[in-house]
Amino acid sequence: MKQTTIALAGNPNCGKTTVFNALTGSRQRVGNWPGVTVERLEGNYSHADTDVLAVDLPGIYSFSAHSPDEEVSRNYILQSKPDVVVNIIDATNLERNLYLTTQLLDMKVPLVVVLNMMDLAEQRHLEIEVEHLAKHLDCPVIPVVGSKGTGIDALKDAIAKVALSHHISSTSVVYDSQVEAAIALLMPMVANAAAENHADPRWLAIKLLEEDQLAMEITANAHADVVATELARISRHVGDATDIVIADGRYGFIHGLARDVIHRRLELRRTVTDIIDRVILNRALGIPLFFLIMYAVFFLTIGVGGAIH
Amino acid sequence: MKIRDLEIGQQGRVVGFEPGDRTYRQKLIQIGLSKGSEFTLIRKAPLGDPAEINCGGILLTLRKGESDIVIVERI
Repeated sequence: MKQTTIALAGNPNCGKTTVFNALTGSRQRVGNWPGVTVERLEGNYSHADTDVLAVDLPGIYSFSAHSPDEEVSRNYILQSKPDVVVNIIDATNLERNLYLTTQLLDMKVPLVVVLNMMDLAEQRHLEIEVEHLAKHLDCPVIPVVGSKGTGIDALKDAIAKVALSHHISSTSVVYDSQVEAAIALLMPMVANAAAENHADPRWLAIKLLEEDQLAMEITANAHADVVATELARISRHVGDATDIVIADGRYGFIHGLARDVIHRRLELRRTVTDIIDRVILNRALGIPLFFLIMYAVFFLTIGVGGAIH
Repeated sequence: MKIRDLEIGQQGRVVGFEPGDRTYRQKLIQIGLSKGSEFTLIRKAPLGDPAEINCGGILLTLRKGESDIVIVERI
């Protein structure tokens, strides 16, 4: 039997673990990532004569390695080289979730995008052109409802296909022309370091411009002077710090995508959360409600609990 | 202008960031409070800190000191 390793990446609360459970069923193991107290969840499933090991990465907004969660996720993708990275996206919050996707596109990894919570998106009258999105991202996009298990078979098929073809998306985010000039300058300089670390040179150049710690380590800080000059040049021309300009590039790409593939049929102004917040966060009602709930808790634990005891 | 200068219900747009704390700035940008994004101030705590904003359907609650790195304009 063949062996495939996949990694699940996504924002916090995008339903990543629900999809993970739907994929692997009960065959799971919980552990820790070496050296940090970040939980590591692994599971297996068999599909089309292949044994697939699925690793659930921590929920993150970015691969910038500002927190142990981000660092663990990024190191796993870069060093362990999973055959497929499955990027799970909350369909009701496409724009914010795609920020992580743009970074995976920069990293040039074999990618499958999962649009989770499609039922909620429908309830909120969001129409997403899945095919169109897949074309733009140049990778499979699979709509699923993790909680009901719909679309999981299609997802397994898509993963198997990408694991076989190792297809890497040709889509990349085009940044501000000043940033692009700096990337073009840095790319040949970091080509060797990138090849040694099995990383993409363009990604490494972008990361250097973001003053990323890991990128500096990979290149042994050899291009610190060039980077500093370029950073100064970019902020002089554009008027903003380079990391803001790069983030703008990512959001520009995302907004362009969103305009093309999302149709909001009508905006539902008030969600359940809003209604609950209006009551419990109300200036006048808030404190009395707090005391009422505390009273209820004490009554339950002492009054009812004591009687049962 | 800062988020703390807005009144409840008013809308604002992010026009820039104060220099300094890159990590926190990046965090805000990643969550969706990027340059050019629009938001509504939903509520403030009784002493004005923290304040909750709605940014494209995402509810963010920010401390006064932290949110001061965001430069906004009223729209």
